[in-house]
Formats: sequence, C-alpha cells, structure tokens
Amino acid sequence: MGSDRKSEEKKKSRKRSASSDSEDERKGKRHRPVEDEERKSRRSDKKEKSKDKKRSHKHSKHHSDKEKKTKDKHKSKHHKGDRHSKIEFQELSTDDYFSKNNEFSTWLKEEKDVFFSDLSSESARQLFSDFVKVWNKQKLESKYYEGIASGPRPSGKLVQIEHALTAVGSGQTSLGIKAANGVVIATEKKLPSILVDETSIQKIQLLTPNIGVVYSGMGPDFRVLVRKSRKQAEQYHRLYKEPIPVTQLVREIAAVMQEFTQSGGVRPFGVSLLVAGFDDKGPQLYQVDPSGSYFSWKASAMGKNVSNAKTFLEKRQIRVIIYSRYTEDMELDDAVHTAILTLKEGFEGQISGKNIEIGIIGTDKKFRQVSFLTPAEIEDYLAEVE
Amino acid sequence: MSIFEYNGSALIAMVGKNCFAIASDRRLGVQLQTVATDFKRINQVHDRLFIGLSGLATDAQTLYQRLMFRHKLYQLREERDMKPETFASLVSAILYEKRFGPYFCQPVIAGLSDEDRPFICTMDSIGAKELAKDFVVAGTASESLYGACEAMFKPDMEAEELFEIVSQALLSSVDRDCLSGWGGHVFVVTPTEVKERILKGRMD
Repeated sequence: MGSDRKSEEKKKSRKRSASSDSEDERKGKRHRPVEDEERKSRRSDKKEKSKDKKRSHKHSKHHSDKEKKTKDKHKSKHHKGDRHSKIEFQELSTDDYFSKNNEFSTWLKEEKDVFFSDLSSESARQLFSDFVKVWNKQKLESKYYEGIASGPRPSGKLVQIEHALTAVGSGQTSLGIKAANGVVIATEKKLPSILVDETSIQKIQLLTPNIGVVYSGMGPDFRVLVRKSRKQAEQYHRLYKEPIPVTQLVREIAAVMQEFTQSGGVRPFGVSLLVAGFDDKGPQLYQVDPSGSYFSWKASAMGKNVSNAKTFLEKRQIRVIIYSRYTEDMELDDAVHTAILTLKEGFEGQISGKNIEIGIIGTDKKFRQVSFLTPAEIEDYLAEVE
Repeated sequence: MSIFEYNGSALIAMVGKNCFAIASDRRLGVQLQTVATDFKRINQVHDRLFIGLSGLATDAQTLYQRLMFRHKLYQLREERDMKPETFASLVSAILYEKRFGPYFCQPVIAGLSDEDRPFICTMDSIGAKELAKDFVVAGTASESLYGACEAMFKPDMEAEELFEIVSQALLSSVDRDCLSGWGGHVFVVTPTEVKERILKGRMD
C-alpha cells in the first residue's frame, strides 16, 4: 500500500509539473500570434469579417460558435446590431438579372413555385424586378445575400457533369482511329510557354503494355485516373495471371468516373479519355466521358474542334469504304496519316513532331506494345503527308 | 493421421492428343469406416474445364461452391468462359487467401484451351501451382498413382486409349490404399464431347 501511494504521489507530482510546463510553453507561444491577429484585424477590418463569415460555415458548429462570439464583440464596437451588415449588402438593379440568376431562380422556386426556365423572358424580367424590390428591402433570408452556388433546374440535368463536359470541350484536341490491324491515338500538345521542356510532358500514357490512353480536359484529373486504372489492371493481372482485356479496364475506369458523379465531397473528372488497346478481341478504341458512360468507336475526336474533326473523320471513313472494296477498315498506316491530317485541320500554327503526340498499337508488335512515336518518326509521317 | 486423410481420396488427370482424362475414386469414409460409395470429387466448371478436389470432403464442397461463384461472376462480367490457366490462377489466389487457416484440399485442374490444347495442373492446399505435361495425381493413393502412371503413360494417346490407361492406373492404385476405392469415376474430354464413365473395381 505504502509503496503504491508513493508511486501515485510521484505520478501526481509528475503530472503537475508536466502540465505546468506545457502551460508555460503555451503562454510563451501564445503571445505573438494574438498580437499578429490584432494587427491584421486592424489593418483590414472588412476583409477579415467576410472571411470569418465563410469560415464559420465550413467549420464545425462548436468552432463557429467561438468565432461568432468574437465577431459579436467586434460588431458591437463598430456597427450596432444590424443583422445584414455582416455581409456586404449590395443594392440590386434590374441589370443584375444574369449575375443573380441562381438566387433569383431559387427565390422563384420557393416563393412562386415556378422554375426559371419555364418562364417567358418578359415575365421573368417582371418577376425579377419584384425580386429586386424585396432584395433591396433586405427582407430575404440570409442565404440569398450570402450567394447560392446553383439554382433549381427542372430538366434533371446534373450541372456538375455539364461543367466537366465544358472543361473537356475547351481542352486540347485528341482523336483516335481504329484500323483493321491496330489503333492510333493522337493529340495536340500545346505548351503554355516556349520555355517549358516539351520532352517532360507525356499526354499519352500506357495503362498496361497493350493499352494506351489519351485525354482532353484537365491534366491533373487525367493523372488520377491513370493511377487508378493502372492499379486496377495490376490487380486483375495478379488475380488471373492474364493481361486485363480492354473492355474490362474501360469498364473499371468508367465505374470510377461514375462514382465521382454521385459521391459527396468530390466533383466529376474534367476529362474524357480515349482508350486504345489490342487484345484477344482485336484492336479496340473506347471513349469514356465524365458521366461514366463509354462507347466503342471506329474513329472519334474530342476537345476543341470536335465537330470539325469528327466530320473530317467521317468523310475519310466513307472514302476508305468506297476505295478499298475488300476491307471495310483502313490499314494502320493510313490511320496514322488520317490522324495527323485531322489534327492539322484545326491546328493553330505549324504542326511538328514536338507539338503533337501519337501512339499506335498493332499486331506487328510482338508483345502488342503500344509504341510511342519519337518526334523524328512523326516528322517522317509529316513529310509523307505533304 | 493428417486431416487430408480423414475421408480418403484418389485423383488423377492425364493428357492425351488434343484431349485429357480426369478420374477419381468413389469412396467417402470417416477414417476406416466407409460412409458413401458414390461420392463425387470431380466437378465440371464449364464445357471443357474440370476440377477435382482431394482431401477433406467438407472443405472440398465449400471450396467448389466458392469457385463456382467466382466463375459465374466472371462469366457475367466478361461474357466468356475462363481459360484453364486463368482458372488455375484464380484457385491458387483463393487458396492463398486462407494461407494461415487453409482449406484441407489438394485440387487437380484439367481443361482444354480454345485451341484444343490440354492443360492439367495440381496445387497444394495453399495454392502453390504445379504444372505438368503428362499427368498429375492427388489424394491418399497418390504414391501408388505416381508409380502406376509413370509405368503406363504414353505421349499423344487418343481418347479411347487414354481412358483405358487412366482407368487401369486408378483401379490398380486404389487397391493398394485402404482409404480410397469402391470403383471409379472417369471423364474423358475431347474437343467435341465429354464422356463420363463409372468404373466397377474391388467393391470392398
């Protein structure tokens, strides 16, 4: 017993000393940041406040309560007790018809029970002036003044996916052509500055030795997808000791992309992919979109100039069918030509081996490797084209 | 006594010219007492792929159910049958999942590839594959089976001869083993057909 008590006492004393130590430390540390904060708040009072407001929404309740208290103190010093004064109040006019569309359509749905898109433009304008009146009287709920990210839509369209498709549509052009004995994928590689080392950028990537992929849209999103799909491919290989079929890999990629349209805290991928591969079923070309839908194509294009590129490819396809009476599909070499020609159609500036990328996969490759053409090889093809 | 020898079993698979045979005994015992004389250890996975599971019967049945489950999912997903090699890798992976509490089974896998090339393979209870060009054996009678097969195997046999050789090897081996026997069950698989035959031997 005696020894027990002693040890307890020891513990206590240790605890006490430890806690007092840490307290001292904290005090020492605390001083400066507080001063810093005060200085900041004095410097830009208004900015701070709007930031505070946003932060309090994101963080947990507990946290925001604290902040509110401090805010209240500030408030009572500066302005007395006006509810909306925390948010910068902007007086609206009918000119804000477009910029406040989200707020307006939410108001319409909640107050008038109509969708914005169901209204004629005249009656919408009319209602908007009503909305402006209420707004300027500051009678609306605070959420309107804080801003609304997206208004209610009746069509059931998912705007996030629309945005992702816009990102793809404004991305650099990529295309793919399936030939009788292989597939070619190609893309333009425009660099933000001539100072960028073009050899450091690879827009066409290998997923497995016999499957390559190219994208239009956001580069970083593409990298995430490449990493995930390589992992899927390896897992398949580990289980079955057999390379993953193109269809299966495409399905897995599409499943990931679909999940990102439905999960919380994430946004859809801002990329469309062209997946080219050669397996037991022969040459295959797939396009996967941000929504998670995928299609098999004879030839496809995406990014800027899609419609032009696709028209060009369609014409070419028809010509090939007419000229070669025996095979419906073109040969791989023709496909490479067509790919370069199509890229050239919508290309701004001189095309060269350095500003386009081409990947081909054909039967001739012993291990059905996607072979990437070096700039020198592309120059050769270009010379033939001209 | 090892748990692998609790029920008793004899399994054999042999390669012929564009064909293969897989055979087993029909006894299910509990140690030296015979419980059933029509027990099935060989199961058909798809038209030209078979798996025999020697060892503890309960584990053999459970493992077979799991394998069929996985194979059916594969068929639905990929719209094709598994290649024999692929199936063997799957079995191996499933067995190794239970590395530290294994199924007490030694599988024998035999199948015909799309190009009519026969494939046979066996593995231990934790999935170490052993591929063979001629024949594979498993079960409590495996020692005698090795001897019989080594003596009787000939390369490139036609289906009928293969059936004869496999049946003789099986029947003579199970006679030297008290835990297996009571006739045999033989499948001979050619590109065009599957022949299933039941053998009578020393029924005691």
